[in-house]
Amino acid sequence: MKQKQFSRSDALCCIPVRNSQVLENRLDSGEILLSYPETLRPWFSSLILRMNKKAELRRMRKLQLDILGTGVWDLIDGKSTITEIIASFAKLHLLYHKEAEISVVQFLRELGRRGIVGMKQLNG
Amino acid sequence: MDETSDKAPWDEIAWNGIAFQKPSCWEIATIGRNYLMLGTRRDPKMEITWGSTSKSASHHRRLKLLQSDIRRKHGLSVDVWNPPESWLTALPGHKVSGFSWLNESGKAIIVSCPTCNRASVFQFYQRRDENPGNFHTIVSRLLSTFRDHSENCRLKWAVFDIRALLPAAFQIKSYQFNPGYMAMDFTTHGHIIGLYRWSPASVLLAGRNLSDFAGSLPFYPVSTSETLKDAERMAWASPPTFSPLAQIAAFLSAKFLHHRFLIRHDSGTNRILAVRSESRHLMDNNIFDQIVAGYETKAI
Repeated sequence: MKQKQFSRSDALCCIPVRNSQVLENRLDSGEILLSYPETLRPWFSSLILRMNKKAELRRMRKLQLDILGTGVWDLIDGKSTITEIIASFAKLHLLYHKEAEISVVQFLRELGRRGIVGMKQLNG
Repeated sequence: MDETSDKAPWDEIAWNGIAFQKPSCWEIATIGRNYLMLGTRRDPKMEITWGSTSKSASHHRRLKLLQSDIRRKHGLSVDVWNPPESWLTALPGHKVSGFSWLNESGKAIIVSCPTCNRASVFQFYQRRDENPGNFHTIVSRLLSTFRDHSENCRLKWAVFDIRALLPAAFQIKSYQFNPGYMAMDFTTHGHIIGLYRWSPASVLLAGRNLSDFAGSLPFYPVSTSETLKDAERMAWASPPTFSPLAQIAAFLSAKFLHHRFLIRHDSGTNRILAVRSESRHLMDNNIFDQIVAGYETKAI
């Protein structure tokens, strides 16, 4: 059976979900410092295992969010869709909708690439 | 709300010589010097391309060139199509011809203005499930507001949330529309006008004032007089020096002799707006003041 094509509007209806292994540290400046596990590439893992069989194959990396990134992070509650997050972000900072959409989508894409958030389909 | 509803909001778009009203939910998807593509969050809705053409190129010839261009680029069959009467009456001062493609789901018209000798190509996309009556109502209303030349030597610019009014002699030189920062540079004989807009101001000005923010800008004037008007508005001006020696030095080094710069914080829209003016000649301060007065952002 042919799989349904995933459109832009389908993507905007997804719900971003935080990775439960991500640790959050709120700084005095109000910004957030995230610590997230990074899985090593298979060839690198096998190399390390050859040298040390008890080696930890995951390492924690850090990412400091700026004030806008912190705002979006706070809006990721596991219930709101990307569209809803964009609307809330635009309303919070009186942003032009398209401007908020590009910023939020770019930010979520970067978090997704690092494995900090995953996407849940609304009906899936 | 459906865009055909009487209560559905419409707004104006004005860019590089053309202007028209459109449903507010049709947003700019792509912008080029002489090109705009508008769409809703789901579908593309229309494209417009325009340009000045030679007087020798006839309306019929332009139409033929465009049809062959679509055939060659997209491999689509293009058929001659007669636009409905409501479309034609919406453009009384123009020559209009139409054609269709994509199994008639795409409708295009080429509009020639005998006054300014400008040709514009509108391409409208009709969804298969869209009511044809609604489609024609929206397009007719949009076309009836179309303007391809200014009547009073002043040109309106209205894209995204930016609204500006400039003398028609100023041509757009460069532009960038990024989240958080938008800039447009205009030029006419030895005179440059730059319009800038930053957002959100509440974040950009957190922990610092407008003066600190302005000081971080790459075009912050170093040795000019500064006038602090109030906490929300600052202006600089370099006293113009037009001695023969200064003019020769400026000519040789391609420098501008007269600078003015104004930056203001619009707390109502949470934006920072700035106007920069640089001229090789003594600039008319009235022009600068009028540009500043007409430069604003639309409240969201």
